[in-house]
Amino acid sequence: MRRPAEGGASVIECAAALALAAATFASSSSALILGSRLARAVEVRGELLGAARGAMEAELGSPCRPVDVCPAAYRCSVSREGLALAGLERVVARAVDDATGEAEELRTLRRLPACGG
Amino acid sequence: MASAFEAVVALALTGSIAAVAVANLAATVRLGAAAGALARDTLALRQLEDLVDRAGARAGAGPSPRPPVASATPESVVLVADLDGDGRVDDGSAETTALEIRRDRTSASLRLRLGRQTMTMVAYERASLSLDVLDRRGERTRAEWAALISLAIEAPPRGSRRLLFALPAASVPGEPSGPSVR
Repeated sequence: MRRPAEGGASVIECAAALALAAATFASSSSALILGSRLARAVEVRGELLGAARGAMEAELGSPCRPVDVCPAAYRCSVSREGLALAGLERVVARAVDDATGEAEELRTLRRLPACGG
Repeated sequence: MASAFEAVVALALTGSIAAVAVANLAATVRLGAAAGALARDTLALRQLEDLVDRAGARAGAGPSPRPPVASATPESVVLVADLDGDGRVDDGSAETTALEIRRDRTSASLRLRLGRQTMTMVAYERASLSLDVLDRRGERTRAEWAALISLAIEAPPRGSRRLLFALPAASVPGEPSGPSVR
C-alpha cells in the first residue's frame, strides 16, 4: 500500500515534469514564431528592394514612358531633379509596402534624356 | 485500479507531449527549408542582377557604334561588345553575354552565358520564364532598339515577378523612334 508521502512526491514530480515540458515547448514555439517572422521580414525587404530596383531600371531604360512594374501591395514612385551640373539629373526611385509602411529608396545620377516631343 | 488509471493518464500525457514535439519538429524543418529557399532565391536574383548589369554596362562598347543587343527572342537575349577594339565580336569570350531560358516538362531555368561558360542562375519547378526587350518608350521592340531587358517569372507559390535590366542610354542607338513590335 502506498504511503501518503509517496503519493505527494509523485504528484509534485509529475507537475514539475509537465511544467518543464510546457516551458520547453513554449520556448521552442516562441523561437519558431520569431524565426518565421524574421524570414517573412527578410522576404518583404527583398521584395521591397526588388520593387524599388524595378522602378529605377524602368526609369533608366525607358525614360520617355517608364514601364509600370510595381508589384501589387506596393507603391512605387520615381522623382527626377535637375542638377546644376551639365546635363545631369538625380533620379530617386522609392517603393513603399502598403501593409507595413516600410520603404526602400534607390538613387542615381544620369544624363538628361532626350525624348523629343 | 488506481495504478491502471494512472498508467492511462501517463500514456495520454506522454502521447500529447510527443505529438507536440513532432509538430514542433515538423514546423522547424518547414521553416528551415523555407528560409533556405528564400536565401538561395534572393542570392541568385541579386547575383543575376549584378552580372547582367555589368554586362549591360559594357554592351555596345567598341571603336565603332554597335547596338548593345545583338539578338532577342523570348528564350534568349544576347549582349555584345567589342572590348578589344578589333572590329568584331568574339562569341567565345567576354565580348558576348547571353541570357538563355531552358525549359523542360517540369521546370524552367535561366542561364547566363559568358563566352563559352554557362551558369544556371535561377531554376524553378512548374514555372514559366520569358525574356523581352523594350525600347525607350517602354514598348516591345527589335533587338537593335532595345533599351530595357525584361525577364518575366511566373513561379508558384510566389506568383509573377518581373525583373528589368536597363541598358546605358549612351549605348542605345538613336532616339525612341525605333519601330515597335506588338
